[in-house]
Amino acid sequence: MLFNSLFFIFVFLPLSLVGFFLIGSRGHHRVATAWLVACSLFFYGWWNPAYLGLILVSMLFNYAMGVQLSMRAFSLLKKKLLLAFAVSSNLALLGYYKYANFFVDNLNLFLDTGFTLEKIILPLAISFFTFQQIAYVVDAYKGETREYNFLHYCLFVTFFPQLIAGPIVHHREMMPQFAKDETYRFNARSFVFGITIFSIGLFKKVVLADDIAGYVNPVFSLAEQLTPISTVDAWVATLGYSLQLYFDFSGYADMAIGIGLMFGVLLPNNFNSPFLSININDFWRRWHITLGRFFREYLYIPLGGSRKGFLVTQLNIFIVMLLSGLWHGAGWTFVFWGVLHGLAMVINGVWRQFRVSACRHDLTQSTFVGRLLSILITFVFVVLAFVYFRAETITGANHILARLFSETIWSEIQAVYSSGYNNALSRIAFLMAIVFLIPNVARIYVAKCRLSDPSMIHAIFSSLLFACSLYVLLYKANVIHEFLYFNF
Amino acid sequence: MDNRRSYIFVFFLLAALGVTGPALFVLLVDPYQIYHKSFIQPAMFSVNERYQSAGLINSYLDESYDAIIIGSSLSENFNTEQVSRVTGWKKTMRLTVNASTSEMPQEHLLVLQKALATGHIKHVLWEIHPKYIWVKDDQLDQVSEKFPEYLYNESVFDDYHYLFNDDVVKLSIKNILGQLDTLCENGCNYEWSHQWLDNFEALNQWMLREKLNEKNNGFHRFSRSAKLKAYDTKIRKNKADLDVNEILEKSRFYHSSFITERVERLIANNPDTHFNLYIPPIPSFFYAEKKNGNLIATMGLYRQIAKVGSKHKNVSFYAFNNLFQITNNVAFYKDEHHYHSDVNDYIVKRMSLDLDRVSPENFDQYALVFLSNLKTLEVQFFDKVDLNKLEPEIDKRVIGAGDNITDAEKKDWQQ
Repeated sequence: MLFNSLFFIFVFLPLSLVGFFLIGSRGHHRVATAWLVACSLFFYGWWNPAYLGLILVSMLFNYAMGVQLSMRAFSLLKKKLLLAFAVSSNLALLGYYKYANFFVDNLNLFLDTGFTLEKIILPLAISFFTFQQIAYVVDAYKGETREYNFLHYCLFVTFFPQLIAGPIVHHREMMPQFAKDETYRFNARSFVFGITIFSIGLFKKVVLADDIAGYVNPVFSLAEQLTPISTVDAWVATLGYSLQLYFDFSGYADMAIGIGLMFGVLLPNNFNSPFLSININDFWRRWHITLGRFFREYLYIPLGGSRKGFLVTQLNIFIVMLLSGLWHGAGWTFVFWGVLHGLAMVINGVWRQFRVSACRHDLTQSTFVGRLLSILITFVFVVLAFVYFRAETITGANHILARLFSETIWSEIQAVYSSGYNNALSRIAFLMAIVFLIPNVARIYVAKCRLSDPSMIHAIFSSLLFACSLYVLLYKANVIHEFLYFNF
Repeated sequence: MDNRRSYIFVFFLLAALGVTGPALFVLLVDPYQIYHKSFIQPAMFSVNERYQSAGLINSYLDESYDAIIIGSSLSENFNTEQVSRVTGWKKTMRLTVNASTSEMPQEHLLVLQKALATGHIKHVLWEIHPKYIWVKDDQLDQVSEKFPEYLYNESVFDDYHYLFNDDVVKLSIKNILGQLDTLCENGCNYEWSHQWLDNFEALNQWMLREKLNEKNNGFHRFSRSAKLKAYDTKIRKNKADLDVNEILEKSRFYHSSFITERVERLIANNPDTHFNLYIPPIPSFFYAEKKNGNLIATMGLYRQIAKVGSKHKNVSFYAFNNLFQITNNVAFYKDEHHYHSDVNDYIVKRMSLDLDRVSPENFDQYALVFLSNLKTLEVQFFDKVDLNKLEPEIDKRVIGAGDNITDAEKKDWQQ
């Protein structure tokens, strides 16, 4: 089920909210939890009921592992073996569903073998719930969290606002909230913030992201066929896709946080104006924040982090980014995208090291122009790299990138200028203005949602955004677009 | 707490207004006049017949009408006043569905059903296009994506497709501002289906447009087109393969569930309405380039309808595709289907004289004449055709076998 579907907005969400608070406010917390788990499983099963079994088995296995790791007084070796078994089992599951076809295809390609494997359908959200559970078993191993109630564990994994595309939450940041009595009682302030943030997210997705997609997708399709494209179209595709992904993903993140708040639960922020990043490291602290956190805590630090010298640190960073690329999809374009980001982070690391050691620069100090230049460089890199992220083949991506600075660029700019208006470019300019000039939702609302009420002007503003989104969904109800991150 | 309640109240109130407001606006303006006649602006009618016909039936098909015309773009040039005058019907409304799709027969049926449901209709002039053979037995009720089925059923609950529709909202705004795109003759920069006219009687009479551009109209162009030459080549090749006896024999075993389950049932359920079914005078070369299998189905379909006609007293079935003076002469056609509006007038006159009727008794004779003509057909080219002087041309251009026009008919024709 999609957050931007009419069934979700008008039926599923209201019913799940009413049911939860009706039951919870009468003190039946376990029943309310069970209701929410049932709703979440229904939400997941809506896509393909056959995969409900998969997520249930995965939860049962990881719950059992977590209980063993946190309860039994095993020796350290046994605990390590148990953890290795748990983590590798999770990775094997993910590997089978997500990477088996990719692996076999490339084996056949490079070794000229003839292995055949039927196309495996990627279960929705498997990358997310697998990582979330890996984090849980590792935390259980470390003694940082424990869960003895399977129902609560199910809620931690399946809580539908974060199930499909994150944020990837920690058990320790979610379950204490469900342990509080007040979570089970309707909280008007939290609800008010919830509907406001949800409306903004819905608008970002339905009105902004899906609209620009109409200009982006045809160009990428042409590029895959190596059909000649104009320079303007190449720029539309390059900038447009980055903006589409930005509004799509930040829209989803806002909607997830908004729905969480309607339930009185604060989910971690997953998105913090990433296009305002001053370098690539900063970008990864702002884009898909909880994924970056996962990789940092459960891959980068176990690899040694920055504790083993400059070269190993850079190598670790590169490995993390490479795997981050692969996590996003089983394809060479994603691998290449990960390599690009890895290289960019290494180059940034070397540059910073050079500035500190050779130039004696204080990296905490920067001029306005310097910051602006940093933002611009980072933005251009991220946008260009996203072409590989979006394209189906590296050749297709190269085809677009090669057209960005073609010899016809000036004549095309003149043609656009003389025509006075270009639908796609004017939309891109509008979206860029939002990205660079308007503060993000986290800054406006999330930080305040436990402190004060929003003013009535926000009610008017967000209800207009909500109505605009519903207008698109109801009045232009031809296609409902999936969130891009559902594919990962 | 009150502040938060007010917030929630304002949020949902404004959102509800924002969402339902456009739908209420559509209900008020109602550009296709589905719920009421236009009262804010003078009434305008869309050439998009799939939508407009529903509005015409709902808001205009009152007791002053007793007849309707159902068909494709071939039937669009019927002059409803002339049809009423010639046939003696009270008043006729044209409810055609143009831009045909493979689901055209089902769409004709839905329009007809809706019109019959008004209870005013006593006469139906129903074009049976050869494409009626396309209806598959498992698609009897299927309509094309273009067709707004929800406007033709009895349920009001699915009308949200119309009310909550971005295109209709935009049309309503244009309507209220008096900015609907009016019918244009040449050089339109908007789509044909976006055009509107203030007179639904003249709606989609495409012949009016052709007449305005007499020196280079469709008829003039087609008679010189490469497309026609291609037809000629194909026909020459096909003629050798055309097996008249095989077609006649095998057509006896053809069965269309659409005819029995839908057409015949509708006829039986409306005994007080007389159905004048007719095969339009599509050019002979349209049939001549078909393979035997297609002709078997076509003749089988016509045979089946002839049987329906004999079973029900309220049916007359006419076949105008043996009027070879017309169907063998490319001068009457602007493409492989569409004929001159004078042909529409002519067949109505013949129908009113009860000529060209086909029944199970004379079907084989009719079919033999029809198929024999295809076997000997030659596509004729004419350098110049004066369509305004159509009548005298007919006699000069008789090609192949055909029935002779009687003196009475000639007199009638010349009137």
